[in-house]
Amino acid sequence: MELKEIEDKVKGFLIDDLEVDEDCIYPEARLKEDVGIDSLDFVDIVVIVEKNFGFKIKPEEMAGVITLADFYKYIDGKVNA
Amino acid sequence: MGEQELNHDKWAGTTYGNGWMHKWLIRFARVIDLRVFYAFIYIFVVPPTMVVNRAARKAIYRFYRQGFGYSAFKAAWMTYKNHCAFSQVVLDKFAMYAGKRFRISISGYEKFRLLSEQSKGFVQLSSHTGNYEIAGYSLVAKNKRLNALVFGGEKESVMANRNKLFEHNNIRMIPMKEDMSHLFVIDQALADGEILSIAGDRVFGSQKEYSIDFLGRKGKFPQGPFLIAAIRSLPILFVTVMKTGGLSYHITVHRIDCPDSGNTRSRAEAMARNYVALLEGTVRQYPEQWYNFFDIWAD
Repeated sequence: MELKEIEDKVKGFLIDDLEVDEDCIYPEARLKEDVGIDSLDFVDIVVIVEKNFGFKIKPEEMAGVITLADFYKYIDGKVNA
Repeated sequence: MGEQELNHDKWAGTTYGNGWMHKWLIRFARVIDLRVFYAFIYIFVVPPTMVVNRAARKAIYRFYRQGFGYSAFKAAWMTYKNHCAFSQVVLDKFAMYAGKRFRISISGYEKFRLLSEQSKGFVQLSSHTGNYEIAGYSLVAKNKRLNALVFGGEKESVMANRNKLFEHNNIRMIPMKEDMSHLFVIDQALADGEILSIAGDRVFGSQKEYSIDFLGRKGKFPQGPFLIAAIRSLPILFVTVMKTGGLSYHITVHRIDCPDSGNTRSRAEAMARNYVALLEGTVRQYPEQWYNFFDIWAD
């Protein structure tokens, strides 16, 4: 799966499912501070990622994931490993 | 809606105070008639408690004044009755430990049985009304573990006591953690087809809340319990256990299905509104059994 496709899918569920403002979605945006992701949203993301990308996020693997760009890379690493 | 009579001779509920107090309460409950116990509490315990516990008294008084439009005198009287009813519930718990038998009837047991026999998990919502802990004994799923979310700050001795009491009923206590890691534990439990038991009428942990009409005013309700169900498109059972007489309780099981359309947030909110409407119906029917001792309408 191309990185662009991953970005589009993530952007899609952030807007449609988590009701995130489109202006808050850019590669450097920090998940917590800028995108506004909290723990409950994260549980939602775990389930959505499992449905869309076919793997389960382990919370401990997200320690170094700060920005959306980090998140795209994390998914890319899992999907295209 | 069919009714089913259930009898039991043991029951475990939330523990209050310390172990020494529990032992003596149970000993007294074995030999003293409950009505005598109630009368003693009404006269010697409730009035001073109401004086000391100002915040709870004010919240309940406001609940009757603004929620039900009672006069000042009637609201004050209902506040006293509310404290008496709450003390009855606490005493009943210890009376059950002491072996007293209560008559328990159920409406909607089929809803619980149907969901507990399915492979999917579900969320069982409680409220701060009546005596919910009785549901822990009366609604038991043979093949599903029930996960109850509890305050992580609870004393270790109390948690140990609870776990000991519930271990034979396939009930697991999940303490709330500051880092919110309990959310992943409860989500995994639901993914594994288990039951999550959680209160739906008190905002704690996450600050996300809904503002929903409750008794004519906008009340604060947590988003978490409804989002957790909506994330996995799971149904909710709302269970109330209300005292209907001296030694009798009535359990009602309501089913709230997750809507098929909409995103997670809109489906969760729809379920929350459904829950609040059912809660309001229960509170209107049993106004003195509202034990949410905080201001649900506070800005």
